[in-house]
Amino acid sequence: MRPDLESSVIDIADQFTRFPAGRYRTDGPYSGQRFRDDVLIPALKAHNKVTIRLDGTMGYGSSFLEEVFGGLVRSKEFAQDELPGKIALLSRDPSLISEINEYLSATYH
Amino acid sequence: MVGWGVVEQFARRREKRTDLRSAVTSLASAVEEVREAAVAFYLLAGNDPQSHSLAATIRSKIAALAEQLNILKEAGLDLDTDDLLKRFRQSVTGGDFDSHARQPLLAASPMFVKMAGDAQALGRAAQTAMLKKLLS
Repeated sequence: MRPDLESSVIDIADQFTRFPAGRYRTDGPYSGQRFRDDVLIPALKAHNKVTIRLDGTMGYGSSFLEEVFGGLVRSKEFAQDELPGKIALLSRDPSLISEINEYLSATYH
Repeated sequence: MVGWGVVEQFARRREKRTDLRSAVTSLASAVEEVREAAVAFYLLAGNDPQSHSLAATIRSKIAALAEQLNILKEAGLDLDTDDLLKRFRQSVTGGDFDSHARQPLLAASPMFVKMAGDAQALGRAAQTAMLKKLLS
């Protein structure tokens, strides 16, 4: 699909939930798998760049974050080396950004 | 007049030091609360009714730790804790956290040792930064 707009912003608290939790859909309604497949991947396909606002939720578990961003790499929907340029992360918590970048750059087998 | 000014300056400085110590102590307590909640959480199975609320508590308390660390940084502490907070979050909420199929851990599980180590490292980093600031 050809990106139709240059960039997009996803505010997780406003557009997904304030209570992200769980890795798989079976873990709950606001899982990492659901965010990745229903929100993030479609946005990345439609836009050259997607900014994700992480603040405003009641916190994140690493299982959610790993499933979203590690799972995004494992999905092979996009070349791993193009993801850092397509995704911008905004948060007052630098440890969240560091963790997500770790998942985006990890090697998966 | 000059004497009173000096006294007031010392009093303010002492007050600021007391506030800083109190904020670091509060951070260490908050880290310990997360660790204790995590131990209680992992001793239960994922489908235990208490698991859901403990998981929510753990997530929000870890998010609050990040806010507390930001406040300490804004107060002038030279904190390099981003990696330590990341590791603590990963050791507490990684893997099958939130999974209904998660089995309870034994009290002697090495995972508890890892969580305690990461908690201590985070608290210790804040204590060390505070001491550096107070002694500088």
